[in-house]
Amino acid sequence: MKTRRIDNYGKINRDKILSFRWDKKNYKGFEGDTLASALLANNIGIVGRSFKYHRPRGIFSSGVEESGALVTIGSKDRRDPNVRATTQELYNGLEASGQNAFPNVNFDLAGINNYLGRFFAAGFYYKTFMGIPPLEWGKGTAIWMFFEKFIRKAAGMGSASGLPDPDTYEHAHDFCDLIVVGSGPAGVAAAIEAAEKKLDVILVEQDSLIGGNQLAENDFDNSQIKNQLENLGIKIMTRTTAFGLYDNCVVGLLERVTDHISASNVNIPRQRFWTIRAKHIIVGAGAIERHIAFNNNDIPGVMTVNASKHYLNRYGVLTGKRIVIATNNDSVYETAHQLSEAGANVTVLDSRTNFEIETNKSFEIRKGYVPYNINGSKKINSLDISKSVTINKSETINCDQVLLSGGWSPAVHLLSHRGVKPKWDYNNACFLPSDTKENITMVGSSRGLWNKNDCIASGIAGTTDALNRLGISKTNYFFPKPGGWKNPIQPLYEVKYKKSRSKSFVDYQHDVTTDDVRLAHREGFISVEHLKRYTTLGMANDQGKMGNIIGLSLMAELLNKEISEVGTTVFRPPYTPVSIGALSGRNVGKHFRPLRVTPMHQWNIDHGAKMIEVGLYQRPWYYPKENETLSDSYIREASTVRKTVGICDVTSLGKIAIQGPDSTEFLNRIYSNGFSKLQVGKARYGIMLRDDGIVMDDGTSWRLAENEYFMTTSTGEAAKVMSWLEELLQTRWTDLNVNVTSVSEQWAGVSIAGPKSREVLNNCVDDSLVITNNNLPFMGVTSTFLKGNIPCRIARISFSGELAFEVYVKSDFANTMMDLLWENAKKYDGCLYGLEALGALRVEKGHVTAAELDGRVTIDDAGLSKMASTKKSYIGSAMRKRGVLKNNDREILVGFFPTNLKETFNAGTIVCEKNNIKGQGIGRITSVTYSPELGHWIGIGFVKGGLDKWKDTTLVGADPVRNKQMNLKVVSPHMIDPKGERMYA
Amino acid sequence: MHRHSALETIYKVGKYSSSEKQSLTFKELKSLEILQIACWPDKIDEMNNLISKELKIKNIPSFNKGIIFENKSLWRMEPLKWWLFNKEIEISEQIATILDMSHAFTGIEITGDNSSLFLNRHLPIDLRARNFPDLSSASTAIHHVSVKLFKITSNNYCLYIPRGFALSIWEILLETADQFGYEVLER
Repeated sequence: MKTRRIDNYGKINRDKILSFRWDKKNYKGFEGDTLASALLANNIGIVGRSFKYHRPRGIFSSGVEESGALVTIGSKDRRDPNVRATTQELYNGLEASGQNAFPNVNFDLAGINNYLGRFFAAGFYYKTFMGIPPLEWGKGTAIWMFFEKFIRKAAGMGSASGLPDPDTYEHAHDFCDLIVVGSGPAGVAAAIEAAEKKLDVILVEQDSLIGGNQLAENDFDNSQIKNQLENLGIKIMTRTTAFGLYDNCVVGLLERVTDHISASNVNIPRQRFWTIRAKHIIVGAGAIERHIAFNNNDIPGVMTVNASKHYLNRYGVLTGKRIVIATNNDSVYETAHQLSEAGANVTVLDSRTNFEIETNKSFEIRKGYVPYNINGSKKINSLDISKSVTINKSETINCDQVLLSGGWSPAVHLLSHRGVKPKWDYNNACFLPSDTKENITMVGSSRGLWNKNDCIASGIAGTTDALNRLGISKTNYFFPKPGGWKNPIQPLYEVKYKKSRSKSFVDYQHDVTTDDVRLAHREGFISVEHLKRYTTLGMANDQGKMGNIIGLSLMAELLNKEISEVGTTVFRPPYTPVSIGALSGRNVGKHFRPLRVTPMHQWNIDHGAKMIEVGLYQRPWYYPKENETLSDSYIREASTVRKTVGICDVTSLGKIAIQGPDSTEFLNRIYSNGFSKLQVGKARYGIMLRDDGIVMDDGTSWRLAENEYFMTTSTGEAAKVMSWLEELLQTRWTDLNVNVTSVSEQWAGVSIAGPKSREVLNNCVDDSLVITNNNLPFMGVTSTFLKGNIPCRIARISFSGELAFEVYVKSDFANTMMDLLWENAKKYDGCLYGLEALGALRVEKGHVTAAELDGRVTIDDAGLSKMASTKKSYIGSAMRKRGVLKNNDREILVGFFPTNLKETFNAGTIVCEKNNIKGQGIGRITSVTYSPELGHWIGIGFVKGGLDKWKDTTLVGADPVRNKQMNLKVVSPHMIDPKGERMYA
Repeated sequence: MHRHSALETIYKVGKYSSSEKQSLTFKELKSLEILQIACWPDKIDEMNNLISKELKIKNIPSFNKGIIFENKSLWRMEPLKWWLFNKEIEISEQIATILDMSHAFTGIEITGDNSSLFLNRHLPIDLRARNFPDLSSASTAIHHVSVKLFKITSNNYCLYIPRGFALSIWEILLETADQFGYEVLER
């Protein structure tokens, strides 16, 4: 195979040869190559198959706008589809393959689609497969749903590996005065000017080298510029794409850290997602050369003119020998000259007839000519050309390459992200960026400047603009006028093919043709947004960088309007694709969300706990012995608590320190029950309502001193309650001197419950007198010491209904406390119990949790109306008296037994009247458990009218999700020790 | 009395690196003593006078700033809240309330030339010297967990993580640190 690499050209390192594989064959390239340049050098013309028609596709460009050479890199779990070969740097061992083809891109069985193309116009699938008479008679999607999977398989791009991504990604933040996007002459000038004015500057370049389009110049040496930038303290970020601009001068960047090297090291992130917060943004993102729509304009060998220049001068690859350049502007002539000098036979077709250009006559110029049709299928055999005034084939030129330049489109995408609509410039046939009040300045060819000196001047002006806007200077400046060519451009978007069937591509990636745009017009999709969605023009991963303008021009012509009247679609982030991994960063796997543990987490695990997630917390679920199941374990644990004693980690409860002279008044206002007379050394259970009278949370508050309380909240509502209290103090009751501080992390807590709990605690405290029934009665609180001089707080509180204590120590002493308590509990055949047993115990007692207090329940619904004070005002006290909350048919807390005590039921069961099992019924079961004490399943929940209304009636529990139904008996929610004799013992 | 660290099970002293050089060091701050002082809005002047007198310091730190004296330090974490390290103080509740928070946080000292770069892998805080000089503090977040950051010098930071999240955040910090090369020092 002949190489297209030529001597004395390019900036590649020919001393370093790199081996790579393409479609299972070995090839060589050089350091500094992209995959695209290496493939071209190895004379590989077909690198892909098109989206819909499976037409062979080659390399169209040399940059991010590439819409033909989408390939798959890597294999197995590192398979990365839809990578642009033009931006993929070559490395030793790179493995790449074509995609959307079987068996390969050179011979693709699905290529038959190309011959059936007349059936595959825009909207074909939906029109054909939806509502087919007589099966669906104009409506229905069942047939489409059946065929969709086959169609999607036949069309498309590469496929993801489907395996877990082995690479790591990370997020990062940085700050600067000025961020410059793009390192072309304008961007570099702007950065230097700003650094010299002492601004902190970041320069971002998506390429591996700085220089922008200057990299296509044979004599360009970027190392000198790089040194200058670095000496000025400018932070240069190469291989980094600014993919989006956001509010307040925030720029999203994607840095490709290891995509250019072969060795994979999971400790180094593959890509880094940067959030840069700047004071000003300068965008010098350049411009993108457009192609021209004409028949067969996608045959491998078609390329933009500027790309060919890059391949020649940067990579030392002469992309063709007999080259035809088709253009409508001055930008191609330098390239034509250089290609000719490099040995190519070059002919330039210029659609313009009346213009002057200086050349050395090393190539032929055909004024007033345009490309009409390419002959060939897998490669270019020849080009039919036409006169530009009367479109028809006039002659054929034998050639192996057609280079196109239909004008240039400034990269206005980033500014478009800010909602700034570009404006159409007639003179330069392109959209130019509009002005914005935000601190964003466009420079260089991204503001429509075509020559280097103007770009440099605009970069300096851009920095002056930035300095003025930042209030650092007040200097007059001006930007050069858009343009810069000697001869005006002549708009040329399409050369119409006279024959009935044509393939003139507007959007290469999605196979959108000029006929598709016309079809959209005929069918009424004339808005550019409708056009886009109907034809999918601009919706592939190149986002219409090359084809959008051509599509808009066609629609404008069809509507007999100017392009400025038709407008353009809105460009949205990202500018180029961003991997999902980069968006996730390190928030994957076990770090998907932060893990929260109690201070005795490891202690619990070491003692056999199986853990369960409760919110972010890891809590002990149950402590199985040998072969015990969850059910075996929690029943044993709950039984042990009732018989002797159990220890449960309750650290996850929210804990709030309430301090200050007005603390008592504060509690009195937030709780529905009175707190003004609570004595020091006592705790009280309290209910907190929302403003609308619904229960927000419940918990206990311990009066530690005259003006100091220790409040506990439910685990799930801790953060909400804390922020609620702060809000009240900061907005409503600014007159109260109260400080609230979360001390949830400061204190570790356990519950010791069961008839032997006092005896266990007796052995653990320094002074056993402090916990006698007299000194520490029910709801009593004391601050004392555990043995070993561990300071602790003990409250006699019961959630289980048994004699019980809650003991809190400072977190670093938690393990010591657990060792001490457990050592003594074992002496009484006690147990450690988890959340499941805790739940069983509280359901037996009819104690509510978040399962019951779900944001719909009032204090009366929960059967706690006695706790609603009538003597004071508190949050929710007015609204809880609303009529709708006082209706007699509100659902009231009750207990449930299955009528057949051998039956089980589940939380979520809908409670219905017999013979009326439908809808939401008359109630619901919120919590269930097997009751070790009662020997059968029990539940609590709500039923309209409560116990009094249904206590003698058999109801039905309907569980349609689990296809179950059972008869229910309504009982009091307090199923064990209703008088509380055990906990008062 | 032995205090059990939140990092006890995973704190492994040693040098760790995917590169040859260790440019970061991590050290857990042992036996933290943190006293939170929360002042009433109309008592700021009295508070400043009291602090100045009790701690024998002339310059009371402003919001998000700190002062280090002897082996103690005082940081103004919120407009009305200070953290006092390694020192007890008595204050009338008519001026402020005090609260022991010594067990609520895990403190990590991070040192090294790349410490700012490393921290910005997680923290959206401008750590450049002119915006975050030595003895600055910030309340910010790592992986959605609220943390406190103190800058001691340009290459030396202290990070305070809520104790219950310390295990998880420690792991994620070290994963990030691996690219820089790091060493975990004795506590």
